[in-house]
Amino acid sequence: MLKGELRRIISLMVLVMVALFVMAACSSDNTTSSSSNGEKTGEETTTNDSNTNDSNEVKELSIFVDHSFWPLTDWSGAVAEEITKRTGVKLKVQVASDGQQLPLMISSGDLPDLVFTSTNFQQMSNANISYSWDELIEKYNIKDFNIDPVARVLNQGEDGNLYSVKNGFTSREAFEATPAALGNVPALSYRTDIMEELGNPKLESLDDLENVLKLVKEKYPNMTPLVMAPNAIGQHFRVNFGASYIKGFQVVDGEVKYFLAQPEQYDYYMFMNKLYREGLISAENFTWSDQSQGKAKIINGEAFAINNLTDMATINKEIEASGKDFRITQLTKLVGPNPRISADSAGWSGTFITKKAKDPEAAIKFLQFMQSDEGQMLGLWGIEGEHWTMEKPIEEGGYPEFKYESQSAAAQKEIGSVWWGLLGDKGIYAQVQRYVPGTPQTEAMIDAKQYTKGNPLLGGIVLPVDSEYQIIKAELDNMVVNEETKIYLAETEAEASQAYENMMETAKNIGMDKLNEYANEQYKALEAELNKAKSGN
Amino acid sequence: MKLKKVEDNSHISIDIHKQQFWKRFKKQIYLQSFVFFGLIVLFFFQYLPMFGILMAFKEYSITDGIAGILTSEWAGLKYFKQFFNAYQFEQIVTNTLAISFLKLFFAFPVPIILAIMLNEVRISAVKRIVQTTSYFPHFISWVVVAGLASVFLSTEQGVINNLLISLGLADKPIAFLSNPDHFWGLAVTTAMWKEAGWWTIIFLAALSGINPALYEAAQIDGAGRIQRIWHITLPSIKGTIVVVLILAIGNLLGGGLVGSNFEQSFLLGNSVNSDKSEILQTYAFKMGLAQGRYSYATAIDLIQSIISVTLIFGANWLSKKVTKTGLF
Repeated sequence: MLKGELRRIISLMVLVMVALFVMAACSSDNTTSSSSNGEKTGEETTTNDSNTNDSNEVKELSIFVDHSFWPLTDWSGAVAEEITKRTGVKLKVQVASDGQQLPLMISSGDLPDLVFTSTNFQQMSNANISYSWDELIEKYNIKDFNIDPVARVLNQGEDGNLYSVKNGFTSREAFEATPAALGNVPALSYRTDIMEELGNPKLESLDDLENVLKLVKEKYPNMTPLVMAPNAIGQHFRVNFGASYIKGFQVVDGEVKYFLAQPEQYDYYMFMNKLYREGLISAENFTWSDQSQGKAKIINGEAFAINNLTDMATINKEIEASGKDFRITQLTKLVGPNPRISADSAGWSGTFITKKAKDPEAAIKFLQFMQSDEGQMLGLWGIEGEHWTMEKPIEEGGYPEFKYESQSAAAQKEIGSVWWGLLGDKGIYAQVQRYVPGTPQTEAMIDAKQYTKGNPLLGGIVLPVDSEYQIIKAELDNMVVNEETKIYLAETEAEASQAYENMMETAKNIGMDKLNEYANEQYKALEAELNKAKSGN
Repeated sequence: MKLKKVEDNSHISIDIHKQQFWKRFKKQIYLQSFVFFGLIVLFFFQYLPMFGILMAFKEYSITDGIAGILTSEWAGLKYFKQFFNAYQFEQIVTNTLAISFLKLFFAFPVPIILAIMLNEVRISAVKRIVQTTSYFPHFISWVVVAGLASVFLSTEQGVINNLLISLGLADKPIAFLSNPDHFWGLAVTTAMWKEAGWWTIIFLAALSGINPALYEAAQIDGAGRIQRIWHITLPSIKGTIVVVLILAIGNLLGGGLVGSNFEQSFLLGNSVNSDKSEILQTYAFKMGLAQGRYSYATAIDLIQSIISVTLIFGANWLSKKVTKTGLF
């Protein structure tokens, strides 16, 4: 009897195990098929494509976008459809939920056809993970895929191969030679109604700005005079003092140094501390992690001005939607004592073709199109005639005259413009996209252009993955976030100055000098390589 | 000859034990099958991942995949030394220990006191209401609690600050969220608010097992309420208190009984209060997942695990010595 019972128990356990395995198998099947429900045609086409190589059929490539802020979660809208029409490729999009997702995908080897990343650019520049572009260009005999020699030097992996080119890189010459090309400038926007009530006081220097904020504090004691978006804290003021807001490298006294070594940083910190001591910014602003908290204060009428990225138009739309009758406008001039925008970036994010790509030929051809002038205009601006027209070439001062609200995030999302263009963005077309005459944002960017100085070699300094230098840099970046808040929130000027000294001392202890030494070597090596590339040897 | 006899006897005794074991096992086969699945889960999710500890001693790169844990080069104690030399080392260790001991000191007695107080309440409706409202916060996630804390404790129109000012207890808003000096207090009080009610259930269960005749006898002997609590209630639940205390000490660095050190420091911590809020777990998280320094983060977590294991064995040993009661 006991034997029979034992058999029953064992059968039951086996049954449960089988059920568990079936469930597990189903769930792993789901991961590949769930997103294709309703897109059956596309999925079937992909399989057919890789087998038959029929060029008339639409090929579906999967892409992982390693930017959680990416607004386009699927391949839809007029621009995406037009790209598919011209390339025969459609994308199956997966947007990162956080910064950890891609490293885990790399680790597990579970990669899609394409990866668009900034923070993991170096990790992806690896022959075990990605195809080098040159290899694919040669293998599939791709014609007319020219890669800028400067971009090649700035983007090559540790093994000397080129796995991707970071987007958004423009040479200083091209930027200056294109009248409508505009760079980003961290914005400062304020409420126009309150400004009018104050009698429109002049705003021609940082002292003027400080006075306006003081007047607001006096007249509206329940209102915070200035709020800052957590991802843009102080950026507007750093630019006004000529201090870099990017935690990279700068040339200081002829030497390449970690950005903290810029003397202008001290002036900036002292100014921010003054704003805090005068009650014009709040300590709690530095505790916010939600990017929309500053914006919410403006929309709710609890703050007068905001330092953020250039999204004035979006905020005004939200104010309107909430039924409020006030609006904000952007300060159109940099009013600081020594404005300077360090445009030292060698680009920010690149598209990789992974070793898991089903159809590397389709992938490299797709990238070639996205990098072409035609692909750039389509991806960044929209369809010519339908979404924009242009009277003269951009070299002669031309710019697209848009038939939609080109700077509105919602409008961009609806037709799929701007964002897909970034996959192959070579800088200029994205910069011209920002040119909308008559708007405060454009005015601010035109003003800022005169102060924009760039040295892409600084952005090209790459610290080897897991190296001692990368660790020092990571520690420094982490330390600055914590220590600079102590300067901002010091109760007296002397305390602020002491906090700055402490920060510099800590930076030295972490190994800032060692890092600077290495950065200098890298810079010189890059300079030599660039000269070699330019001279064609 | 005598020795041989003893050996023979031991064989017989082992056989009898074996037979008894299988007999008992067959009797409990239904229950044992449940344990079997529990063991599988335990093995796969608790024991198998332990081989990842190797990362702390290796030059591991995430691009090498799981196999890289075994194939990468040995790094010795490099990552441990790196942590000991990190500029925040002292701060992080101090914060971790301070928050943990403060929680043990303040938060551990609260559920016991609450349970005893509830046990003394004679109106069952009141008892039920208090019990339900006190354990309800346990079901609120820390993300929500952190959000509530931000709204309630804000210096800009936060309810608590408005109340303190209107009652005349403060002349200006207190920067609970942005003053580093308030972080430890904030961590202890919010954890107590969230978890004390939940742990009260355990002690209430222990209290319900006390024989009422003891109280009646004490009452006849003229013992007052406090005396009854001191001489009957507390000694009767001593075993439960000790077991819970050992478990709390085992998880001391995670926040003890009320736990949640990581969640609190991660959600309520920021660049302003980082001097007091950065702890081992949040630091390991940032280094490992945000900066991709997996070996380094593993070394930090391993240090914490070693401390926790030492604490749990130490607490058990001490408890056995002092109270003659232990967990194992």
